[in-house]
Amino acid sequence: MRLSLGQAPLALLSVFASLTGVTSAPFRFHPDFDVLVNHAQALLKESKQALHLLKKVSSLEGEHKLESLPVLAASATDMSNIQVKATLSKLLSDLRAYEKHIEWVKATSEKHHHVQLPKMHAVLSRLQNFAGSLEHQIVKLGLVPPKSPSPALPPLNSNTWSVIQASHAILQNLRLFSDWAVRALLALTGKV
Amino acid sequence: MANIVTSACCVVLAAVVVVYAQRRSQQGARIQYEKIGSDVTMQCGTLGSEASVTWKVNGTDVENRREDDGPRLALKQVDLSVNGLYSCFQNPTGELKDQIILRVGNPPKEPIVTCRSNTYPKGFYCSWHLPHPTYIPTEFEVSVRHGLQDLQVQKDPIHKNRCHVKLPEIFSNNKYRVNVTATNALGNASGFLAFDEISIVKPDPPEKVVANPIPGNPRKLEVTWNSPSTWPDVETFPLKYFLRYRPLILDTWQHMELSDSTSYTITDAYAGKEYIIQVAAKDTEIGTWSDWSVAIHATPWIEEPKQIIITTTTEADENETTPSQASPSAKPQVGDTLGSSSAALTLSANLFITCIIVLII
Repeated sequence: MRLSLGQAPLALLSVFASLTGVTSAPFRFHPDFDVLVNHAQALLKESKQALHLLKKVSSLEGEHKLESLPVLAASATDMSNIQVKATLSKLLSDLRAYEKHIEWVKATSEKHHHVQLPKMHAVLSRLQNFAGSLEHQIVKLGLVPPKSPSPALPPLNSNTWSVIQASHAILQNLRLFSDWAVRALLALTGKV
Repeated sequence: MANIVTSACCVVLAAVVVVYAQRRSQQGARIQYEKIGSDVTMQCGTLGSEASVTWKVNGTDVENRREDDGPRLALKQVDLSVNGLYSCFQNPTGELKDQIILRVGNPPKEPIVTCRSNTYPKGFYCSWHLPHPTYIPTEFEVSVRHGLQDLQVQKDPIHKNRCHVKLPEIFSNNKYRVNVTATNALGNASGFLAFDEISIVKPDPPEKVVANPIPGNPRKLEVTWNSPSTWPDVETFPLKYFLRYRPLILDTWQHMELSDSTSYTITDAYAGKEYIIQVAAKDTEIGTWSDWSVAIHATPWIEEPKQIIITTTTEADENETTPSQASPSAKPQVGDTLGSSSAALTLSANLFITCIIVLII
């Protein structure tokens, strides 16, 4: 058997590959958790600052609930048994839900000119960056990104009081969510 | 000596007998609780108002008692000094008719409740205390709610006023609500605390703090420590640390905040000075700093003073050249070896040159 000039390098490559086992193992993509952790930390920082400023301009006592916000029910056991696919999917789905809530609250506040929502734009920007990066990682992992959620948001003509209450609720929840995101991604980093 | 031992034994025995007798005499006595500052009336059993009785407190006649009180004993504006075992005897037979243990005290005020999680994310504990003493037995009942859910409360086996609760979920926006009700014979009161989980997180101080000098570095101290063993998951819930140190002779601390590291090298220590060092811990995102760790003391590496040999040369010394007189340090020995070898070298060179000259001749 004779090898042509074009076949020789390929044959050599296949011999090398079989000897080193480079191509024998299937290629596995590992998400870049460092990048995701950085995104989550930046979002956490931004949401903390925004909440702090919001409390300064409109201090509200008591608890503020918004039923349409994503529910985060984690326990200590959940954190130790955390799974890559389920966690990334939950992360992205919730990020998209928060994105819609913030877009809604921004649009509503624009109708009420005297409502101040400091740093909300910066939070939205961080959130979108994080979601974009996460979606990219999910696709590279060969997973199907979750469907974008459609939270049942109140009509855009909500009154000023409702907008302020909703902003508090969104930022309080987002602060907890991004704290969870940082820790969940750190836990996943240790598992890969 | 034997007399002392015998006397001591007698005293102990007498004390035991007295206590036993008091216990026996109190059996069957009823307890009457009264508020400090109030006027108290004790009734001798079911005797009618015409009956004449004698009252004794702890075996002694009650003084300044009004005769027209009949079978009742009235005490005005009582304080703690009136506590005791009151016995009434019917006159003139002297028959014991009733026994009352009078205990004066206060109804409880609202308990002060504090909660803390040193085992986040597993659970937290709550402690409580009364702002004022009640002087009488007081019981506490604790309930904890998270949102609409009642949580199971576990009493601490050691600390009477403490209970433990498992965190049902974390990163939750629902508040925890703790209610502690104090109850005694004179009344009850409730203390209440509501909090977010992130506000009560406070780790225990770091453990096994060690500071070691670094040989050859008179201004450095290497400090290492362990994360608190009560902190369950340091990987997912990392801690940051705060180190403080100062020379023992100064009052001003120097501080250093460290993220996720359990060692630090102090590089600006004063040479030869003893340092006091402490470390505190905090979750990287939530809660508050722990208390300071137990203070440790350390001194940077100090260069050992060089041994100086002072010799006075005398005729006798010059004659004595025993090895035992040689310096024990290595350096002089190295110098001596070099000296002898150079002498040998000179001798060999001389011999070599002599041989060459002879050959030439």
